Amino acid sequence: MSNDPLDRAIRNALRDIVAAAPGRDDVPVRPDHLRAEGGRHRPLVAVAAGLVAAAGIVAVVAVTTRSTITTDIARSSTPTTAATTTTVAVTSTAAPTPGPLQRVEFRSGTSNASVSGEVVPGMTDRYVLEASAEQRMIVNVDTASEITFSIFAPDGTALAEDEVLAAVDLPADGDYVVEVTTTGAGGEYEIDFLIN
Amino acid sequence: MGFVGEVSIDDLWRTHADELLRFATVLAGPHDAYDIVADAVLGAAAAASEPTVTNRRAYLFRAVANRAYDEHRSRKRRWRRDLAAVGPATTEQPDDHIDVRRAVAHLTVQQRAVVYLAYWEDLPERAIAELLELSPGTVHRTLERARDTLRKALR
Repeated sequence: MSNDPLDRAIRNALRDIVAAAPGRDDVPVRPDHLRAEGGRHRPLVAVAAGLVAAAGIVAVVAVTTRSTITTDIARSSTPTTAATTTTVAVTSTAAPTPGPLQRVEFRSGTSNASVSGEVVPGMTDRYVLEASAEQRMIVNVDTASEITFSIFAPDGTALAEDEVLAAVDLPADGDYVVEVTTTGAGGEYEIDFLIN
Repeated sequence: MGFVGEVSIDDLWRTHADELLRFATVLAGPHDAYDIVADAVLGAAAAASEPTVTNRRAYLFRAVANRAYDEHRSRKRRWRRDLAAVGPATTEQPDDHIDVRRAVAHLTVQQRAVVYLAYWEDLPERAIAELLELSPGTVHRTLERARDTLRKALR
């Protein structure tokens, strides 16, 4: 197989897709248990994941209100770069009880940040980035689990939904919220933000 | 412990589950991959004593492909959404492979199977043909059509 741009792009695409594959040890029900029950059975983990996904949807709806988020943000009073406002507030919120806030800032002179986290079913990790109109935000989540994110503009408009990688042109000055959630059993992830 | 013929289901699972889960994820998305592989392993164990099953790994890959096709027919919408994993967030994309990944989700199951085996498993066309019980010519044409489709995603 040659190594032309198409081949590289195909391999990269497969790498991303394969990264979402469940592992054989991820499942709590062994195949022989399924066989003992007879017939075609959906593994219990799949049923549980469905229930968790349903609960996750409720959780996302519950935490999407922008007014709640912005009042929780402790802003940085000292921007560290001229091009990018640098406050990144991190919250891990389990509806209905908000989790503790964790602030992450871009390093001085940089416009990107990387945060590691772990999201569990029914919870949403929320990242808040202050940015300006006409800037561009690129977000990428690296995970082996079924984890996606959504990006919301300052007015609550969804700019990207259920993505693993997205690049959006920002329409206004203000706080942009990136919500990380899981449609499966949850897991660890690393999320990268780039604003330019 | 369930034994069928000389093969235990646990042995099949331990030996083949990881590669089959990757294959199934490419064919059907992560949400359905486990179900598909579990079914395939159970089916393979049940068929292990049949004299026609001479290559268990190939049998499992074919079983996964067949089940993925069934899932595709019944869950086409969700299947594509899961596989694409990248939505139209913007008119521009930061990397070529994002467009390709989205395009992969619109290949046929057979095209995706061939692409995966060629690019991820690095199998030559003849080996893919043997694994999927297709003719070498079919594999070649399938791969070329898939590449044409994916090439357009790069433009």
